[in-house]
Amino acid sequence: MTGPGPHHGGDHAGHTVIPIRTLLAVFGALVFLTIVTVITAQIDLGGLNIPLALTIAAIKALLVVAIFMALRYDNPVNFLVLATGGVFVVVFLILTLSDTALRGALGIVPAGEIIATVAPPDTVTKEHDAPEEEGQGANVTDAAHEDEPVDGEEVYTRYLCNTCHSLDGTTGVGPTMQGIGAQQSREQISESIRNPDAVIVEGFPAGIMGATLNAVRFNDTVTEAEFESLVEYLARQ
Amino acid sequence: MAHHASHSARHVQAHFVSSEQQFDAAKLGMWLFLVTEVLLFSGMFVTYTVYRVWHPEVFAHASELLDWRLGGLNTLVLLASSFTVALSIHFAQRNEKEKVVVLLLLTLLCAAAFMVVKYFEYSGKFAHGVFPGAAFAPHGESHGLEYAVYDVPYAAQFFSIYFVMTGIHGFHVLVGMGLFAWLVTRAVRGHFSSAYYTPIELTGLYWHLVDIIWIFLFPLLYLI
Repeated sequence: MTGPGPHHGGDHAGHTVIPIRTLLAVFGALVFLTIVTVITAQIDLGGLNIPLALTIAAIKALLVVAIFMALRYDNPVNFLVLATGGVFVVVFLILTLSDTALRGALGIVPAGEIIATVAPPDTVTKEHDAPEEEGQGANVTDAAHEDEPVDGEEVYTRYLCNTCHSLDGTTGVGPTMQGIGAQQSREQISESIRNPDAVIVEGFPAGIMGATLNAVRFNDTVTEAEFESLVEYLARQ
Repeated sequence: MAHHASHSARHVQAHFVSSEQQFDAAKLGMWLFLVTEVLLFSGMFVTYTVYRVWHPEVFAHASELLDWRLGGLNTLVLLASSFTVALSIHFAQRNEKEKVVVLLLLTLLCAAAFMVVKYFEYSGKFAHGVFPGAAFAPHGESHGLEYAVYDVPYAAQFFSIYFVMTGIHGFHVLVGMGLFAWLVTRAVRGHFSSAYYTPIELTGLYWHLVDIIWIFLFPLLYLI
């Protein structure tokens, strides 16, 4: 019972007794890999940081499963159980991501919009056709402003957008909104307001707009109508 | 495998042919349970992945608020506890009963140390308004970090995921502590030997899984 290497002994004839040396080596490797993952995470490796951290975690998990959980020495049926579970986790992850990562901008459709789209066509088309034509180019007409249920300009100043984003081309804390309607679609404008740090114009700091919007409680207080009018207002710039 | 007349062994239940069969059945049952645990946590890992893919910069930014030193310390504590529980099985198989008691106690201590660190982490976050869900309102300053800087959209999402994942993981650690306390009392009473140590083996499997979950949580939440 004292010989080296995994061996069988005692009343449980089929049980592998894993030597202390092996257990200690695995523990040492796990500690070492933890140190490696901490150190490599402090270094900026660009896109490699995440795959590296996950690879190290996977190796650690594999060591625990194979030696500490003794799956390497165990009845293969236990491995089969774990592997089956693992397969379904992968299926779960891939199917979910194939939706959420590739669905496009579905998630940013404002709640009010969903009801409007299912309403009878003649009640909706008027409101929607006019702005959409404008969005194509610079043919902005003042007449369109009369259709606005909420004053987008008022929303723009009420939530302090104007303190950072000028409308006349001058650069402030954030980029100017002059001509934004010609550069970006309504969806892009909408996404940039809802998720300011998703795309950052070069040379401008991230995080400030999100913090400002939180400070003025934008996401908590803005109504769907106000939000849409704000997007419309910007699309005309 | 030798034929054992272990019918007569006290721990073998009537519906099993042998101690060996009973052990294998118990272990298979444990692995089935562990797979349901893997699936439970996979739901949260997929949630994490989806939101990280949507808002990678926010997740990278928000994770700066978590202290990797504390997370790393807890990683080492859990790894050590995985080692001690594996050793306790080794000594149970060798009938060294005193060592089994000591190692199970050490495992229990590590689990408690993990929860103490987690307590300080949570209370540090709560003190600065870092709560899960709608109550999220970071403020103040500590360790050179200005918390208000982290009050950006979707940061609350990161911390909701952080609290739910570490919370459910922490609950598993608490359950583990209860199990190890129970094992210690049984080991002291001399219930375990090389012929019968199934409860230590199964609790060990559970404990290693809790360790593995943390092995992934640590880099995902604290490092990247």
